[in-house]
Amino acid sequence: MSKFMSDEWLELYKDAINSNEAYAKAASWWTGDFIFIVRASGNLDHDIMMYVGLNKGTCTGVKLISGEDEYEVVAEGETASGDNKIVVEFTYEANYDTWVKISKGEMDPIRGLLSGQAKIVGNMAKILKATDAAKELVRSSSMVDTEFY
Amino acid sequence: MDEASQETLFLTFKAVIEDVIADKRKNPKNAKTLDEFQARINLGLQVEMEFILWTNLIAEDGEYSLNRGMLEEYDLEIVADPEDMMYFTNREYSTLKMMTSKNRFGNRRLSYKGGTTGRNMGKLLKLPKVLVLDKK
Repeated sequence: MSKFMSDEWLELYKDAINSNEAYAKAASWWTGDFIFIVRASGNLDHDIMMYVGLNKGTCTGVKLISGEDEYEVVAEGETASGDNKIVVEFTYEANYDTWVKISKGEMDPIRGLLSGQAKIVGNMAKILKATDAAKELVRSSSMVDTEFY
Repeated sequence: MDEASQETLFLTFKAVIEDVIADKRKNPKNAKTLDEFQARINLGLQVEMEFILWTNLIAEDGEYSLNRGMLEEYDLEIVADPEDMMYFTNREYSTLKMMTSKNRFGNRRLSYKGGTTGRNMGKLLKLPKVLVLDKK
């Protein structure tokens, strides 16, 4: 069992995404990396941020990052303003308690957004075209045997 | 629903509307429809059985704006679960499904009535051309 969003958990999550055939099919056209942001709440007393690289149905990499100054959200086709930053197209943010519900499959990530419990930065039209992929991306996390805080 | 969640939902939904319109603008075939559609719509987002977050969509001269609250003078009043609206926008739910099937609260997925300016069914029927994404 791995601690939620620990380095070990991240690698298992990456493997889970890459072995999820439904994700591979739903996201076969998708390009666009994410930062997942977990805000402190409940049993978690600190924020966690995680980079997830995604390209055409596969996860290309995952890593923990330390804060907002490490990444930049840039629209598809546009150029980042500075060097040495992780460039992503999207962030998905929710507090820890909401992430737990999402990770356990108790809350759909799309419903999380449309109930005001989660928020996203990035092109919503692109997300709307990939709702199945988004659900499978998150469902992959429920495949990891997770120890929550 | 607390105020912070209401504001987050509003900003998410506003981004949905703005990004969908921007995406449709990429296709020159949509320009005439988007530019000619004029409407003032009270749009209720039902997120709980007993709670509707009221927003309003104003389309005028090719500009679209979504704001919180209800308009006093309006053409249409629509109420839907924002999740259903999103699946309507991405083509997963057809107009027929929105108008005839029920949502998780037991109401029609899209309930509507005319506004202070009349029944305005024409505007209702044009909504999919404005708010539904083009096929991939």
